[in-house]
Amino acid sequence: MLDVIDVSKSYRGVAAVRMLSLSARRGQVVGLLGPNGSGKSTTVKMLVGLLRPSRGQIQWNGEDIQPQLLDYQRLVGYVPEEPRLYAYLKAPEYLELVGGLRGIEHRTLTQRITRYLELFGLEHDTEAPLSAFSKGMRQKVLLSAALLHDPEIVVLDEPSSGLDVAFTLILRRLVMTLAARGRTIIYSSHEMDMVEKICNDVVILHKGNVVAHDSVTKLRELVHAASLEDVFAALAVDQDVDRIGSELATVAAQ
Amino acid sequence: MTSYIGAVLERLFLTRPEHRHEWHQFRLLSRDSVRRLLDSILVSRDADPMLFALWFTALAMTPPMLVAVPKIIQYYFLQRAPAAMVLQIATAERAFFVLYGMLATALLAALTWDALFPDRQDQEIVGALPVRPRTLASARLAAALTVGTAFAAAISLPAAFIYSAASSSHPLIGSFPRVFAAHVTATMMACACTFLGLMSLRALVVICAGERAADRLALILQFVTVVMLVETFLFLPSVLPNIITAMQQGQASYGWAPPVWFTALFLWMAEGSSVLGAHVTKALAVTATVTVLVVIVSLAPAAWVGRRVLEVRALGRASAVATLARSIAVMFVRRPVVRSMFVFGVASLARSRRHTIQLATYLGMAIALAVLKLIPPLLKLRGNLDLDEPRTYTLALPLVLIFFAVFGLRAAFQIPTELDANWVFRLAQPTVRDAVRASRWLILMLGVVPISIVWLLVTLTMWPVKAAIGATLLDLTIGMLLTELALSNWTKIPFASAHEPATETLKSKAAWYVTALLMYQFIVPEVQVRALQSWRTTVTQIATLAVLVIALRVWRSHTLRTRTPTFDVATSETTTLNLSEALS
Repeated sequence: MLDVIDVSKSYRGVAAVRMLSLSARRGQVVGLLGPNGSGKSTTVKMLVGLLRPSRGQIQWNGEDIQPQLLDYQRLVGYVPEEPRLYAYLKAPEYLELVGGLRGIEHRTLTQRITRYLELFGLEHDTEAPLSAFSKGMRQKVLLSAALLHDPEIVVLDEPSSGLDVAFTLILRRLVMTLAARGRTIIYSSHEMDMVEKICNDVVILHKGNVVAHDSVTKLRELVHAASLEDVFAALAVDQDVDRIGSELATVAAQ
Repeated sequence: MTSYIGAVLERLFLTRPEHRHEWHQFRLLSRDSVRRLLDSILVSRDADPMLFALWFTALAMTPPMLVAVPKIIQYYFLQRAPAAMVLQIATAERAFFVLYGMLATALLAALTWDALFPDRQDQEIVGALPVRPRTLASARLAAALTVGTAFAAAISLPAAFIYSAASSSHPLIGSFPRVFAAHVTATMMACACTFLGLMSLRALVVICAGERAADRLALILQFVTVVMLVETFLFLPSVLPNIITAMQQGQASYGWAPPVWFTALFLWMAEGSSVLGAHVTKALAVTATVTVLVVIVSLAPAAWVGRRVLEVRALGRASAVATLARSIAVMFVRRPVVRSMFVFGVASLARSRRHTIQLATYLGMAIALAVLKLIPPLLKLRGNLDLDEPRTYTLALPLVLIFFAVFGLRAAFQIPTELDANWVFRLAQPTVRDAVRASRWLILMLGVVPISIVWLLVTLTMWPVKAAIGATLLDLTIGMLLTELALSNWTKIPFASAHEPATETLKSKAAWYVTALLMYQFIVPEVQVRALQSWRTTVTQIATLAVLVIALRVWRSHTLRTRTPTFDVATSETTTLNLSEALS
């Protein structure tokens, strides 16, 4: 079980996340929602061990992850928000690098890479450098890299970004299958529809604070909202969306 | 076989599985780091890194070879020369090999500056994987050492072989194996000391002052290295005899200079000269110190530096420059399209490391060649230059600087910053006239005008006001004329069009560039001296130049009416002569 207990993170005195607590069991998909600048990415980076919390603890199976960070990171598969890759490498080279660093035996790794590239429809793009890949293709490479070592915990930050409809549906099925196989999944996204369909629990962040943490059904009941989008609008949207939207359309016309 | 030996050694020395895994991670990351280092020295992102590395190394190994090869004949003819003379010649050559190696390695360090240590991208990609920060840092260090050693070997070994063979033909300057060993040891140790010293400096600056300070240091380093490399070729022959005499007499006047220590090591190993023992000790001690230092400063704080890289928000570089450019554009550039391209150009140049480094190289060459003009009168007049009135040697300084600024900027414009982002320009479709106008503004505002203003301020303190203003106006108008000439076939949007490899252009236009430079350095100052003799001649010359500038602009504007901007590399179409048809 993954527990985040009263975690805060500050950058040079400026708080990005305040007293965040959440938990995710095996087989559970926890959605992480929040407007831009709400602290989602900082939370995700702390969950994968890229950042160290300023206060509080992240625990895996009841133990703080920091003292044994490498052991914890061996269990994590991560798709970052930005498709950051070594652009001069080819897709198989990149996956070989990641798989090698994770200690996967060469033969197994080659088999898995070939299979992932086939399933993601990238088998004909193995000679092109990643710099020539579209955003969706890069996302597929990142998804493959995250799954190469059969992780216990899967942290996905905007994983459907750039994917077409077919692969978005495939991604949905993938997340549900991983959850059914007992993996713990953290799914950070702006796509309410996707989150509503696949997440058991949802955490809504706003200005670094958790403003809601419950199942989608309970949240809807609590806020008397018809959809997760309405729940989100009620809890985390400060702006007058109608007015701003109308003004945006007419600024240049004035 | 090698992999089998490697596996056996792994089994012998890395008994625990986690150590073997870490070793495997280190190897993977080192291999990738070498790729990254090669990628970082590319001027254009489209170029092949391996090919570029080979050309760069070939270029770097040429000067020592050019010095070494003629020695095969020279030492044969020096058989009966006095011993002191032969030793002095040999010492000068050895000092050159050492100094050149150090400067070339410094240049390599400046070019690969960004890739020497793990950065934000590394942390985001590798940081989430089960890899110790120290493993990543060691891999980067190992890769830097591999590239540095390969480069040092490439510039040392061929020259060492030829030079040792040449030296062995003379009985006074050592046998082949001894000179070869001395050459390789001294030059490679000098290279290692420079490379590791600069790496340590970079790591210390990052630790104490952050990435941004290290970034600025790279520019200064690049600039200083280029100036010194050019100066080495131009002035070393006249400076070396003094240094060597001082060295041989055991004087301490040059004892502070690292090249002296490594030259002393060369002499000690090749000839057993013990006069310079103290310098040899310094060379060995400093090399050992920087080796230990680089390991400590790059590995010890690896985890802390890695975390800090992720936590510090990336700030835009050169914000003040961009703001100033925007203010200038609002004041002087009327057309919005031109203004946008101008501001984009300034921001691209100020914030792109590749471009600023390229420009620093041009500026370094300019300063080196400008100083060249000052040396003969300085020697002739024994240091008492006449600075009270305009002279050819002083007038040449801004001209050479303007020349390199104009062509350096033009060369920088050709290399795109983010080619994929140029759809903004493709959609807006500015005319070629606007692209040329923006390029002209960029060259004038970033090159010609600042140099002229600085020169005016300098000359106002030395010359009468009329002469200072006259000389500045002459520089300004001739700079404008050069800008028009430089943009005569320009059809691109600065920093937004695909880069065309310039090898063919360089071949066909090299003579033109050299002639123009020589004119700027030697003929134009003579003409300016005459023009500055009276106010009337000054005004006449400025007016003539202005008319030429206007004429060129009108002609150019006319020829560009129907042209569209070039965004892509032109594909070469093969033209075949249909001889069978001609014969029938």
